[in-house]
Amino acid sequence: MRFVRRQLLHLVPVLFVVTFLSFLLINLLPGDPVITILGPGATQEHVTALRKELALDEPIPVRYVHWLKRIATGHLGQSYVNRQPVLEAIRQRLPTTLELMILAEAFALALAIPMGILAARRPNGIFDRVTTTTAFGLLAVPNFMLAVVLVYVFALHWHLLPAEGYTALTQNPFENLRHLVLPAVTLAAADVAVYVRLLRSEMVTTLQQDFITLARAKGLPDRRILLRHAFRPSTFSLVTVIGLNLGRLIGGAFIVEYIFALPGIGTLTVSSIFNRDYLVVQGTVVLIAVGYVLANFLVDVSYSFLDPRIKDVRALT
Amino acid sequence: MAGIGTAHLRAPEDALLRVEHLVVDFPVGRTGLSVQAVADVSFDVLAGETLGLVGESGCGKSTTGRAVVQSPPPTSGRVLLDGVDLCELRGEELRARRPDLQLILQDPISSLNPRRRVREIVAQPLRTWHRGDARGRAATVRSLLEAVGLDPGTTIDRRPHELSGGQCQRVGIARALALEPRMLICDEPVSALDVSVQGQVLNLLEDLKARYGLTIVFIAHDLAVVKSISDRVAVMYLGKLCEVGPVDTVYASPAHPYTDALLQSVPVPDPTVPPRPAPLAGELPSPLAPPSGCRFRTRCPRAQARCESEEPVMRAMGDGHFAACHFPLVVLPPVAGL
Amino acid sequence: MKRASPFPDVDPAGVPLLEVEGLSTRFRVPGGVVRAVEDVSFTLHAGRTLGIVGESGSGKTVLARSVMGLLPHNADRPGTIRYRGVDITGWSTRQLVGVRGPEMAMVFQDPMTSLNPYMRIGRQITESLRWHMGLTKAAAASRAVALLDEVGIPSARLRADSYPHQLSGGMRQRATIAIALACSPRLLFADEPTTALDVTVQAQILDLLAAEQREREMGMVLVSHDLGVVAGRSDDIVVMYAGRVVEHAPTRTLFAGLRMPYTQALLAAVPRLDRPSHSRAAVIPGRPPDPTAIDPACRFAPRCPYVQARCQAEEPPLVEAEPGHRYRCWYPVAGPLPRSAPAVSPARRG
Ligand SMILES: Nc1ncnc2c1ncn2[C@@H]1O[C@H](COP(=O)(O)OP(=O)(O)OP(=O)(O)O)[C@@H](O)[C@H]1O
Ligand SMILES: Nc1ncnc2c1ncn2[C@@H]1O[C@H](COP(=O)(O)OP(=O)(O)OP(=O)(O)O)[C@@H](O)[C@H]1O
Ligand code: SF4
Ligand SMILES: [Mg+2]
Ligand SMILES: [Mg+2]
Repeated sequence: MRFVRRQLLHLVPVLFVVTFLSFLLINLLPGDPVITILGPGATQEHVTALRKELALDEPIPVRYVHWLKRIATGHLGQSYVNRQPVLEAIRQRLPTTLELMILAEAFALALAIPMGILAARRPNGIFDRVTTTTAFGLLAVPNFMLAVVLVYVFALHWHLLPAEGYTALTQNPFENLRHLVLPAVTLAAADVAVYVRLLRSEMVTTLQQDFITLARAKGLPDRRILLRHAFRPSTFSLVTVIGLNLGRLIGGAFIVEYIFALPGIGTLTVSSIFNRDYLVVQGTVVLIAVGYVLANFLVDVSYSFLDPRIKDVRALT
Repeated sequence: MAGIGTAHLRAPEDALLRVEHLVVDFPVGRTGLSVQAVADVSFDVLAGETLGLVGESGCGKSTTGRAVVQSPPPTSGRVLLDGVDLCELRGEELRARRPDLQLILQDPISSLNPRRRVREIVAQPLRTWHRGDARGRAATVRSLLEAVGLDPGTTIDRRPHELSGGQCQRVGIARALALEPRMLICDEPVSALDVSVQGQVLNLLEDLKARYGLTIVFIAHDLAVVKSISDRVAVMYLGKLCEVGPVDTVYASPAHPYTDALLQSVPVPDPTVPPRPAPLAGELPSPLAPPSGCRFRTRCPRAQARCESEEPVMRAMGDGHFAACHFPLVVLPPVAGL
Repeated sequence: MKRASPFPDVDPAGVPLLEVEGLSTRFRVPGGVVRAVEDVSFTLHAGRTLGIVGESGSGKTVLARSVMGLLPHNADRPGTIRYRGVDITGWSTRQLVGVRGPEMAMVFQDPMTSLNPYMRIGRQITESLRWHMGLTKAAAASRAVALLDEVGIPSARLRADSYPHQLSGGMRQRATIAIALACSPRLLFADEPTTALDVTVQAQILDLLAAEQREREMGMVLVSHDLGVVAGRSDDIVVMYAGRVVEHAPTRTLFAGLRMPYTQALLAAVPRLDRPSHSRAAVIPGRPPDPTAIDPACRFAPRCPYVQARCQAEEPPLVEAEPGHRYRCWYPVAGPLPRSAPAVSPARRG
């Protein structure tokens, strides 16, 4: 329990730093939300009045403190552009992004785990060499290019899947999935490569351990040794990297959402930045920071489940 | 083992090294608990004597050896070298005493810097202490290597991984001898070596002792090895001393039940001696929660109620032979302990 | 349901449990070929113990693992292995799966690394019980507790739920013995089962192995670098040097009438309790040869006190000069060296 509290306390400074930096950055960008709202032909009085109304005439640190105060009472504010509460906007878009990321990670792991295990079974065997080459190939392709190719082949050429757009899961689960397959695969590609390499090299090390030889001496078949004895001890770096990778995944998701025109947090953030819609941007930044810290907290917790020795050490402290 | 007390110590002015009531605590994680790895141990070594320190893994042998050389210094107790308490010395004063007292470690290969050549390894203490000029140091290194039975011509430019375990241990000994110490503390110097090589290092230590008039504390878990090199032996169990005495006396008629069990557990390389059933059941208790009274009582075949309630104190069992046991295996002389 | 065994239910009389003939094991490594085991042959009958002794690196572990087929991919293993009369030399991993466990099992050198740290002790035992014997979960669990109890682990039911790091070294070694014994093997390889343990615990573990062997009529290969450990506990002894068998004889014959200078030197080098203090240790000068080198000479020649020209020109064959006693030497010795000093009676034995 002490461990959980420590991890959550960790979140506070991270949030301060991240939100302040993003606040600073976006405010330093040239452009003005008031112009966006009122259009280029607005009169000076209108502009000044709206400025005052939105409290945009104060210096940046003061506005940051205002924002912090508001957030402390649970209000993320509302969009300057369409007056939609930020929380509401996030609530609308979050499911799409979450679904996309979860699906992408599921694809990546579903492919990487069996491949990594099989490659480790005979290091430098044919399968190992083929997966290594494929992995490096996948890493070298940028995801927007992969997206173009996938769309061309599966959507435009074979008409198997839609090229863009979105259907909510609650509306039509099957259509929803069809719309997400190509974006998720695009997003997963680079991760597959990283995960395969990681798992393979850790498995190779694990398979040289004495306890694996003991498992073989017990007369267990290969399959069982790989899955029951060698897999779990080999997942540490994989789990760590999945957590750290979340940042990259979010960045990737933004691009992919944009390419496939998915109504997710990514498209929301990108359009808000273009509009200098500060409060919406701040809201998504908070969301991402919390998500990131929580994910890595889960990674830390999962170590105890992966290795009983860690659990005992934690129980002591 | 059980015991505390100082009845076994000899006259302070005779001893080169005299350790009194040595205690070493280690904190356990961040729990606030601590392990008493060495719990009130006293012993002494006369000049020119070899004291063997034996006991099972984890009983605190290495910790004792390290506390004597003050790295780290003990939690409490006195370590008198030539009558001067090292624990009282600070900074430069302590540093000035260090050349007199050298420690040799168990793992011959990893205790040497893998990137340095033999000549640099052996010369390093000489440089640190500004002994001699470059030419003089080179000559000293050569004669030290010869003294430990290495051919300077072939070994002086090698690095540790190019040497065998036995050769590495010789290099370690040469380095320890560089400052002409009065006393060597050898922490399991032959445990990592094969029997065929073990003898080479043991013989070397005996030769060096005769040649340089060294005083040695020899730590080991192998009773036969300890016997072959020691004058006196001290047996440890779970941070305490059980028995001390002249090595031939202790091995021929151990007074403490633990010493007896240790001796009986050693397999004899002779098929006509049938193996005896294991004399002890169970394993070393956790040093975090040592048994009350005599620490050996949970495994001791002779334990009685008194052993649980009262900690035994060192008593004389014979000439120069002491043990801390309420029910020792020897018949005590009528005027015990005087 | 128990898996079908490839071996007859009852062995024809006189068929040895294990026959190894001309077994060699070589590892392909970047610098050449490591000849870890060269041309080893021996026979072991049910209920008997074969001791294998030799210095570190002499090939003891590789030999035991070779017989069980537990070698890495870079190994070659010419030679013949007959188990209960069946030639299992060329068997695939899939075929050997039925042999390891119920037929042959192994106790490893280091109890700290040979248990799976991520699995409860009980699971590590029930796993093979369920796989090989087809026991139900409950039956396997209670059998596992019984086994742990049998090998002397106190409060076995509780301990079955422990992870390896929660046990002491001696208890871990007991647990690996329980794992090895789980499917009642007919042949047990004990690879230095006590090297990592203290002497008092070593005696307990060796007693335990001897008792289990007696009870099950099990054949045992007891590997050790300590002549003291094998002397009292094996029927025959194989002495290995640089991958080769250099002497092979019934235990008593070996100790009384050894012929090989290496065995003589090894025995003399063992520090003994019955020597007075400050008696000079007998040493073997030099060190074992590089396992990748091949030269037509006796491997022990550079260290042998009796070496002559022929030893450096021709490798001696392993000859059976007296029935049952083989050695590999051109100029055999007549027995152990006389004790340099009169034997002092060892510590008073209770
Ligand atoms: N730095 C340390 N921190 C905490 N505990 C320690 C530390 N060093 C040693 N200990 C503990 O102190 C006890 C004695 O350890 P020590 O190394 O002195 O034993 P030893 O007799 O030398 O054993 P071995 O034969 O295994 O070398 C052990 O219980 C050990 O776990
Ligand atoms: N996988 C491997 N690849 C290459 N060489 C190996 C391999 N395994 C063992 N060897 C070599 O084979 C030789 C015999 O090793 P082995 O482990 O059998 O010795 P041992 O007699 O068991 O020694 P110890 O007493 O140290 O356990 C050694 O020279 C070793 O370096
Ligand atoms: S008899 Fe008592 S005092 Fe002596 S060793 Fe046994 S328990 Fe300790
Ligand atoms: Mg130690
Ligand atoms: Mg081995």
